[in-house]
Amino acid sequence: MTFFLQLVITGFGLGMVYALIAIGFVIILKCSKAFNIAQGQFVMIGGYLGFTFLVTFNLPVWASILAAIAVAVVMGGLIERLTLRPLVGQSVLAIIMMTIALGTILEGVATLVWGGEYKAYHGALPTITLKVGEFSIPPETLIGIIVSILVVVALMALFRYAKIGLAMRATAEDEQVVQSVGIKVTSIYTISWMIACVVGVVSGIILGGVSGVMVSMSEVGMKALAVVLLGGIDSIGGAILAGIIIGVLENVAAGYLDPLLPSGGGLANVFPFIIIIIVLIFKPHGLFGLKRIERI
Amino acid sequence: MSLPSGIFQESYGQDMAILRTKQQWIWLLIFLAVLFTMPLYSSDKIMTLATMMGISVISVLGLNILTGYCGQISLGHAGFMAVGGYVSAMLTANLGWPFWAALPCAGLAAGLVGILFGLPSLKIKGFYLIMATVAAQFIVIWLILQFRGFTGGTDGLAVPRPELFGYVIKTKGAYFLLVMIIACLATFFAKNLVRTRVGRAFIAIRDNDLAAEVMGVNLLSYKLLAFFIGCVYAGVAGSLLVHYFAFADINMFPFGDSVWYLAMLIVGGMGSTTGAIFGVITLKLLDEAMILAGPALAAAFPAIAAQAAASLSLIMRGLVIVIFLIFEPRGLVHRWELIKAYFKRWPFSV
Amino acid sequence: MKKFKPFLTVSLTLLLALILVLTSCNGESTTVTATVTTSSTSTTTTASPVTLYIGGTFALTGAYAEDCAAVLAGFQDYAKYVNDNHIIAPWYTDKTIPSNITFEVLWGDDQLAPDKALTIYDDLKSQGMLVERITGSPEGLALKDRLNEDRIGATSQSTSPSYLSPPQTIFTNAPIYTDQMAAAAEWFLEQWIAAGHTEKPRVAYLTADSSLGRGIDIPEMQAYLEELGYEFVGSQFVPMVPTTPPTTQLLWLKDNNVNLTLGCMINPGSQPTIKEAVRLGMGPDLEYEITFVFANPSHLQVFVPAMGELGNGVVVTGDFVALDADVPGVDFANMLQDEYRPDNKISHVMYLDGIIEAMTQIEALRLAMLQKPADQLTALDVLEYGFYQIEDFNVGNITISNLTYGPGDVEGVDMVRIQQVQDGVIVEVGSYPLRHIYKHE
Repeated sequence: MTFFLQLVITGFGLGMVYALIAIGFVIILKCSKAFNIAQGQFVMIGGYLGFTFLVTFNLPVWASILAAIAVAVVMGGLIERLTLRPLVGQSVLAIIMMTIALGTILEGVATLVWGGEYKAYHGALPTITLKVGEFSIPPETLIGIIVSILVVVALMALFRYAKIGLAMRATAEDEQVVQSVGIKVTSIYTISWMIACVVGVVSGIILGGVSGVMVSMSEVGMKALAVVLLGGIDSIGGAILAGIIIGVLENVAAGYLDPLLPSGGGLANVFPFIIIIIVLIFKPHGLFGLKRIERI
Repeated sequence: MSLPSGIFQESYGQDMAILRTKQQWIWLLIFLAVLFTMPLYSSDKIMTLATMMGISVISVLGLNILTGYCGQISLGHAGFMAVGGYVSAMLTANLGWPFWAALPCAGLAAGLVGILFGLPSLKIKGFYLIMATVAAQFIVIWLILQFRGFTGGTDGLAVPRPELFGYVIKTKGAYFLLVMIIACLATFFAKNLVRTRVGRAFIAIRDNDLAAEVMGVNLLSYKLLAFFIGCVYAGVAGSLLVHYFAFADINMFPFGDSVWYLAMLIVGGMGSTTGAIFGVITLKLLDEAMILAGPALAAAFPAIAAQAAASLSLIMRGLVIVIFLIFEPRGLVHRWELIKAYFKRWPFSV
Repeated sequence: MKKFKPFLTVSLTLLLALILVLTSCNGESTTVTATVTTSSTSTTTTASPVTLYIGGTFALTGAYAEDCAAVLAGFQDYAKYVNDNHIIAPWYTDKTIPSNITFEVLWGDDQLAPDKALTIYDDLKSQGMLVERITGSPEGLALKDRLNEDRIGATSQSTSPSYLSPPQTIFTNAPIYTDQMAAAAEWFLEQWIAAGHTEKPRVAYLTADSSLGRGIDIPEMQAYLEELGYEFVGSQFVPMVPTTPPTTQLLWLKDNNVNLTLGCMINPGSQPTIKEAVRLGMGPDLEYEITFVFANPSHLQVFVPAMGELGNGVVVTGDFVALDADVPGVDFANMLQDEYRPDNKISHVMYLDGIIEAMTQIEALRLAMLQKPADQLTALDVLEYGFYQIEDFNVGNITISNLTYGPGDVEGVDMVRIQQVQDGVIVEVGSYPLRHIYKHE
């Protein structure tokens, strides 16, 4: 029973990280109709930024996070303006290939700037370890939960009260109407990329604090796509719930099935992709996604 | 397509022919002659490069049928190649089958796996379908690792050199000829497929699948057929790749290659056989240049570390895709047609 | 969009031209070197300068990026040293290199993909390289048969057991992974008995999910452990570079009462694993007593600076000396860094490996040159007169014993060093003889 509960709790923490990455994806998709495969690379860059500010520049945690957010805002804005803007109205394939290419470039830049090295900053972030009886709750779960709640609350406030947030929601609804009332859609696009970048970078700092950062850390973005699909690609609440579901299922499945498999494991790596196939066959629009009706 | 004056099409057959003038026939024959005599005067290095290009051409032609003609985007092509490669490797290495028997089986197996993962394509498209093919890539690789007893798992599998009619294909030149013969057949088949009922159905599905269905195109069977044909190509290419290196390993079929094959299609021009070939040649040359550029850059500018030079290849790869998507979304083949038209109409074209 | 067209055409043309120039440049340079060597064959006087190539494939992007960059730097600095001083090491003043010989390092980034490694290998071979180096296990497995066909000897620090099965042309400077694990098992058993335990210790593999990690998972290894008096529990695999902590695998160990884990991981794998283990209260001095053993790719010289006292009790087998050890090899490495890269020094321990591999390659070439003029050397000569004749070769006491190679002996060292983290520093806790676990046919 302890084993099971421990798996569930760890899975929960994992799910929160997936959810954070998925939220970034959903924001961009909602506001600018672009599928951003490079979200995992934002996370990786975030991890490296965390290392740079926390270890190299030896800044306090709050300053590091602020500095990383500042970099993320600039990065998001530049990416949108330079690469995605020319593709407005292009096919899905073009946009996906563009973001994949962006991901490759970001990986190259990370190798160029940080030497592709494994950087760890164990102990630089505050570690909160909560112990309840037999099992302990991992710090990334707690930090993940706290940061996710903060991010979601901030986004909720933004979308509900801020003028720009309202404009973003309106843009998600109908671009042409929005333009006709005098809202500049292009700047909405830029802002959505900035927000997604910030969310990605923040989750990167958390992840980096837990297990260190390396270029191949960006693979976590591919796994988060399963979360996006399960939650329904345009629902933030769905992303959070799906993140938890997948995190827990993945961990429990790996815990019990790995020893039974002929070559002894690796199920956790492929589990999200099996979920993708199942979701696509039985519920293509996810748990909370909008079903779109096509006309000829 | 514009023809020189004085050429008249008097029948439908003539109008549909791929090669319509004597000149085109002569050019084709010269090209084939040059291609098949290459081993006589090329270095080992060029042979390796050309063989790799040939294998990629086969794979990308398959992707072109699936994505370029039928509109079903696949980001799991390297996974399907892995199926073909491993089936062929296991048949020859574990069961002692001859190469000529294993090659079609590899294609067939990849085709069947393609149908399996193509099944969701009836319900979904666009981003969702892309995700299904991405999942296919990772699931296939994982399954290969699981069946360690047959596939060698992470250790890879040593594959015997292919043998045809009692002759062991050992030299680079001989393998090049084998690949080129298959690549030419593949090109011929791909070029003709588009002009059949099936090919027209594919294009109809690509342009508007709902409209195609209304016109009486059976979506399920044609989409699955596209997956089958596309993946047979991938399987054959995978088999050739594995036998070329006499070794099968999952790292030879990374997800990055799936992306890179799609990039070749974009750079060359979607929905065009010539475009696929253009794309492969350009990006393979770029790859090669990047491998050479690393040491060259590091030697020329000792201040930058070798690793920085190597990382530029990653950046370049991304940048090429970005540049083509923004400035030349229709691919090189479009530019090629424009250039041809320019010279044909010269001096009236300015 | 219109205004971009000319820009586009120009940039595309430039790109194409760049590709062509680069490709042709390389072609030219190869032909030039080829003519140099042929012209020098006609005049077999000692004065004619000859360039010999060392190096091989390096994975400068990907999971081994950091290690390989350091190895390459070691190669380059060492080649400069030999070219300047014409001896192969300060402690080997008798092993001189003729002054007409210059060494050049050739390399290519294989991105940790076997097919790229094969292509680069073909390329380097065609440029006239007579030796090769292996990045890691997947490349080694892919290149093994090719190397034998061409009779080219290669150096490596990756030591997959399968390198032992004939043909043996990959020469390692670390013990084979299974021999490392066997030594760790012996060491642990002594501790276990000394601590007064009477029951059988329970052992499991906790290893990377790659050819590196899975290399130790062979029947002979398990049989040997059981023969020693262990109870073998099972295997748990951690991704090569985990994106999330391997909690599941560690909990399984706890659930199965494992006392000792054996495995091969690189630092991006071992660091998060140990960090998570400490959090779960697992370690030699924590509530749940367990000892983690990793093979040498988890270099403590990298591990300790990052982990500090968090890593107390972790054992790494078969590695080089600590970076502050007082041995000639480390002094030599520091001297090379002061001399050739005073501004960007490399702190990674694999720099030492680069020096050792380059030294081994050059020693093989030097030995072969004693038998044949440098301009007539073939790869086979370097293998037979070179690598096979390397005997009791001191690489500055960086490795635990001097290196000896020969037909049937590709494992250079004959002992396994065992190091442990104690109070945040590396402590050598013992050395054990090789047990030659892997039995090839």
